[in-house]
Amino acid sequence: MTKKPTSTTALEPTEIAATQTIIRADNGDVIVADETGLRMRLSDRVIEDIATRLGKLGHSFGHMHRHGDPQNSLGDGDPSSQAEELSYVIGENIDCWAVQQRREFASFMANLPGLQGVRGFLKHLKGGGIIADTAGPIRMILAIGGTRAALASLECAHYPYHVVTSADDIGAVGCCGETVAEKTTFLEGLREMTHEALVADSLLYHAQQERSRLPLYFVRAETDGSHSASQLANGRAFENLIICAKNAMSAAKNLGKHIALDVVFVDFSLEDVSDDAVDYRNGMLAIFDEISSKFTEIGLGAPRFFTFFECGVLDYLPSSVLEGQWELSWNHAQHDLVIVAPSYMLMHDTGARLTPRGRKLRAAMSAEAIFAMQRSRGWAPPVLHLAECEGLELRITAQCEGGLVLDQTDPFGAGDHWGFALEGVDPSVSITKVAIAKDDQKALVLTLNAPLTGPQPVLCYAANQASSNEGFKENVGALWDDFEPAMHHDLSAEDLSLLRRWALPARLPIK
Amino acid sequence: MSFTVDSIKDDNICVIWVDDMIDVFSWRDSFGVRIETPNIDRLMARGVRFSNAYATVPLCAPCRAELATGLSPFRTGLVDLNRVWYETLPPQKSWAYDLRRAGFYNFTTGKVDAHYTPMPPHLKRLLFHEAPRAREKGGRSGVPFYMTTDNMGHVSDRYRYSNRHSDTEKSLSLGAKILHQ
Repeated sequence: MTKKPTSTTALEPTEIAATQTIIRADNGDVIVADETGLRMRLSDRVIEDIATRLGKLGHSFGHMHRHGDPQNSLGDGDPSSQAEELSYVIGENIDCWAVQQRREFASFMANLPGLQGVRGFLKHLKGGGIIADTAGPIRMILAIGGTRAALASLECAHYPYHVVTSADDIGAVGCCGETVAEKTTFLEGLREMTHEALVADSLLYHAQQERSRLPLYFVRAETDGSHSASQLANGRAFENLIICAKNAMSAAKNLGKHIALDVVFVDFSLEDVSDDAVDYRNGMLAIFDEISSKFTEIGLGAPRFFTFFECGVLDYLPSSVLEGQWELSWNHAQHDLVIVAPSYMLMHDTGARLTPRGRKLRAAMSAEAIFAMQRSRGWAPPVLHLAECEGLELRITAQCEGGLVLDQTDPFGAGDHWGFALEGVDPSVSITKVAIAKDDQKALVLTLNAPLTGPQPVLCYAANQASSNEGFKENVGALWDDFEPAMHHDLSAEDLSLLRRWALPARLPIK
Repeated sequence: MSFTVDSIKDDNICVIWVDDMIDVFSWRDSFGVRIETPNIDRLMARGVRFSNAYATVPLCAPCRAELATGLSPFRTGLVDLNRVWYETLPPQKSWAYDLRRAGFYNFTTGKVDAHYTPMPPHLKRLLFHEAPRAREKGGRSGVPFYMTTDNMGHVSDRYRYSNRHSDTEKSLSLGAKILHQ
């Protein structure tokens, strides 16, 4: 089947990209040209204004018809008997008050489990679970990836009615590629905490500490057994992700709200067996292309993508995946891709799967990145770009938001050289000292014991380094930029100390 | 027209960025006085001349962006005079980065982008080994003295430069020093 080229696939000289961006803002494309003409994305405020002028009610702030609406399915009977009837819908044994019907929902006040305290809740009259009655749009955090992305912890959410998913009896872990996701307009709480659920939980915790609005979060991960990134772009997980997004939009419509898509996590790295960095990179770009195209078509717009840099384990980190990820960190076509952090900062089991503690830490980092991006602050972990040798000095030039720091506590057990190592050099050549460059806080100078000799000298960072600390993976480092967490986190002091923007792994040819 | 460090061993790459230059090769004798360009003629005689080349967008900044990155303005969205390429794209999108990663020793001086200010440090540190100190002199109104260095001409810049790293292939990116004159 011949596919229309997208804006990131390789084009023949005579081809024209299917979609082209005319005007782009920080939060995405504003005017895009496709084969049918120009497409303009208007702000929520403008849509509200148009809706008002057309005589339709705006819905950004959760407006719903009140008691007495024509759509009131219980009619205008005796208020006390109606409240009694609604309380059966809510659940007989829940202590609730101020019960009333709003459109297709029972609305009530209660003090339910969780940190949210006494507040309003909603329960659809025909299905789904109890959800928090919130102001503003439903915020959505989605994920697509390989099977490792479907892992979850059996722990209680701090805000069980604020973090929800499709009421299809599957939960936030998604269908794992086994079945096609069910279409539903109902929402329900979670049985397990996936990474995305923990991100929402973390953002809610911070918002509550700041006494800010607690929004309703829709989360879902969809995965399958694809063996290459390009296969994932067209597989069952992608199909299910679109169904989920549509489910969330339908649910939002029922609530009189709209969806604000925060981020789509793409978690696919060690699962790729294509053994070619360019194939891996192109496959990832194809995923971004397909999701952006489909989400734009259904009205969500091109999303922001988040990934973690997978560092693998010492015995298994395909160089194709490492190099592909490294290039994606700075070369990701027109897509809004953010590499949150390297995976060496997280706790894994021997199969490179996150432990519950590692998942929570990862969620805290993701939340920090979302928090920063929502406030138009940049988020970019240090990326090492150049390794240039002159005499006994090897200079490493990096790009990062703040000045570089070599962590003296070395929490991951990277060793004397903070995760730096040489490959392809004569055995007599070794690193004797690692230091931040005196003339540039974003560069390092490595001192060698002898002039560099060897067939193909390569500098490795967090790519060839065994960890001496139990619980962490191999391929670790100890370099970060001077970022400090900006959010409140419900983490132990030990884990809070790991919330650094650690440098991404790299394998750089030495010049 | 591809090359590697090995295939052009002992050669250098020199890019000259020009302000307000007409096609002297077609219009050499059209103004009552012959326009003499002996040095460029010598370079052309030894190289490849693109005699049928067209500007995708006939404006300064988009052309400079396209030349610096090799990316079409209609792919990057850089089609106007309001933005310089490195304000929208990362520095790694320019071929100067590829050359440096391939082992070239990169040098730049003068106006090689479309700004009336010196090249930002974040760009310079990643793309060029050497860039003589430049200082701004009054924005566009100070054009005659724009971005002067300690030495006004390229010759002195290049002399200092060529005496270093004599065993390394070099990339020279030479921009105008006295602009729009």
